[in-house]
Amino acid sequence: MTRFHHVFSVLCRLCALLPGAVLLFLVGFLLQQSRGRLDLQLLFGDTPPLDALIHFAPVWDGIWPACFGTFCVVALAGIVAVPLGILCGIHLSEFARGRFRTMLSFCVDLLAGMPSILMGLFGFALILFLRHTLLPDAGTCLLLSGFCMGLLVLPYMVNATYSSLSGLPHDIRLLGPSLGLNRMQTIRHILLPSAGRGILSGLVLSLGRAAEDTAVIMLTGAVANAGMPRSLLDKYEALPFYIYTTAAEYQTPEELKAGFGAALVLLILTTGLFLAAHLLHNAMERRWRQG
Amino acid sequence: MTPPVSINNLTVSFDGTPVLENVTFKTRPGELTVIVGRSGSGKSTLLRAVNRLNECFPGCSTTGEVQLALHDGQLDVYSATTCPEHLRARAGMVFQSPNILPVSIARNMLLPQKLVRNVTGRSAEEKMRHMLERVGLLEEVHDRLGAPAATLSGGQQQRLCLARALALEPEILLLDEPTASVDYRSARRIEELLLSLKNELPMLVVSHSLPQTQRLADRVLLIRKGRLVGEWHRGQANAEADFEKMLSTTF
Repeated sequence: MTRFHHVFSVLCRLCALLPGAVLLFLVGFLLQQSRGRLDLQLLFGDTPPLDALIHFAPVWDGIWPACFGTFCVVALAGIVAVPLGILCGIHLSEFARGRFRTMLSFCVDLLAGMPSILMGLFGFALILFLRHTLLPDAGTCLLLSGFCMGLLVLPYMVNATYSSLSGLPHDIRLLGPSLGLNRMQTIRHILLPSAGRGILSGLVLSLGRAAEDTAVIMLTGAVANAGMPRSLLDKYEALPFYIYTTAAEYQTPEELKAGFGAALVLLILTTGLFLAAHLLHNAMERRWRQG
Repeated sequence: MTPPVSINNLTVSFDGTPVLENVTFKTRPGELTVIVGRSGSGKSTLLRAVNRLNECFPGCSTTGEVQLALHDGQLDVYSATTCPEHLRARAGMVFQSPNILPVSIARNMLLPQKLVRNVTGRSAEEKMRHMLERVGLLEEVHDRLGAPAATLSGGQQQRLCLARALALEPEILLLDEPTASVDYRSARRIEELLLSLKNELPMLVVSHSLPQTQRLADRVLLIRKGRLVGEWHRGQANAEADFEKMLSTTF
C-alpha cells in the first residue's frame, strides 16, 4: 500500500468515526448540563404524571405539553408529507418524462433549499389571506404548523422516493412486465418494496427535520405556556420553541438546566420516532417477503 | 399447421438507431428454435420483440408484424387492441441472469400467480409444488420454502425462475440465454427440462453456446448486425455439415 493510500484510508476511518463521536459528545454535554433536572418533574412539574397522561390534567411547570405539541406537529407533517412525497416521487421516477420531469425536479430542489423561516412566513401569510377572505376567525394553530412543516419536509420524501426508485437495477424493473404484471402492480408489489429502505431514510430525515425546526412553528402557532392543545385549531407548545425561548430568556440556572433537559428529551423523542419508523418498515418488509 | 411464432419484416430501433432490420421467419410446432449470434447482434431484442418487452426501454420503436398462435387463435402482437400485459402473461420469459424477487422461495412462486392469474390458496400452492418438481427443485427446497430465494445457488435460482414462468401457464416460452450464468450441471438440467417441454410448449431460446445449440436446436436462426443472415433446420439435407459451416462464422 502506498503512503497516500494509507493516509487516505486512515482519513476515511476518522471521518467515519466523527458522527458517532459528535453524538456521544452532544449527549454527554446535555447530560452533564441538565444534571439534577432530569426527572419526572421536568416533564410534568407538580402535576401527578398519571393525571397528566390519562386525564390530560394541566401541566404548568413541565415540558409535557411541549413534548405533546412536538409529537402532534411531527405527526401532522408526516400525514402531509409522506403520502404526497411518495406519490410525487413515484410520478417523477416512473411517469414524468423529458422537460416536464426536469421542471418538476427543479421545483422540488428549489423547495428543498427554501429557508424554513420563509415557510413560516408563508404559513403566516396564508392565515392573513384566509382571515381576509374565507375564514375571518382563522388564526395560527397546530394544524397550520403541521401543514407548513409538512411542506417544508416534503422535498426530502420526494427526493428519497425518486432516487431510491430510479436507482433500482434494470433487471428488477423488467421483472414485473415480463411476468405480465401491469404498471401499477409492478410499482406496488415490486418496485416500492424494493426501494423501501431508501424511502425510509427520507422518512427518518423528514421526521427529524420536522421535530427540530423552530422557525416554522414560531410564526404559525407555537407559543410559550399554551398548555395542552385542545384541538387542531388551538395554539400549542413545542420543544424546539421551549428550548429556544429558555436559552434566550432564562432567569435562573435551574431554568437553563431545564432547557438542556428539554434538548435531551427532544433527542430521545426523535430517536423514538426513528425507531418507530424502522419497526414499521421492518414489519412491512417482513409482510412483503413472506406474504 | 399454424406456425407458433410468425415474424414478418420486423424492425426495432432505439432512439432512431435500428437494432433489428427486416427480420422475417416462422417457427414450427414441436420444434425448439434457437437464436444465435454474436454479442450485440440483436438476439435479445428479437426475443423481447415477441412479448413487447422492448417497449419498457425508452426510445424504442417497432415496425413489422409478429403473430403468435395461441390456444384461442392467432394474436397480432403489435395490434392496437393487444394489451401488452395480457400478452406477456401468455408469453413467459426467463432472463440470462436469474431474476428473482428479493423475497422467499414460496413468495416468488405465489405472488405472480396471485397478481397475474388470480390464483391463491391451496391451488396456488399445489401449482407451486408441481412446477418446482417439474424443474427438479422441489426435493432441494421442500423444507425451506419460506427461506429467501437469494440463498439458493445460481442454478437453483434460474430453475426457480423457470418454475415461476411455467406456473403462470404460458402458451409460449422465451428464454434469453437461460444457462449463461449457471454451472455445467445446472445447465444440463435446464436443457433436459427444455427438451422435455418442447412438444407441449413452443420455445424461442437465445444461446451463446455452440454445444448447447447442437443439443437443443431443431431450428437455428443466425442473427448478425440486426439481420437474419442464416437459418438451419435439423431435418435438412447435409444438416450436420451446414450446421458446422453456419456456426463457424458465428462463435
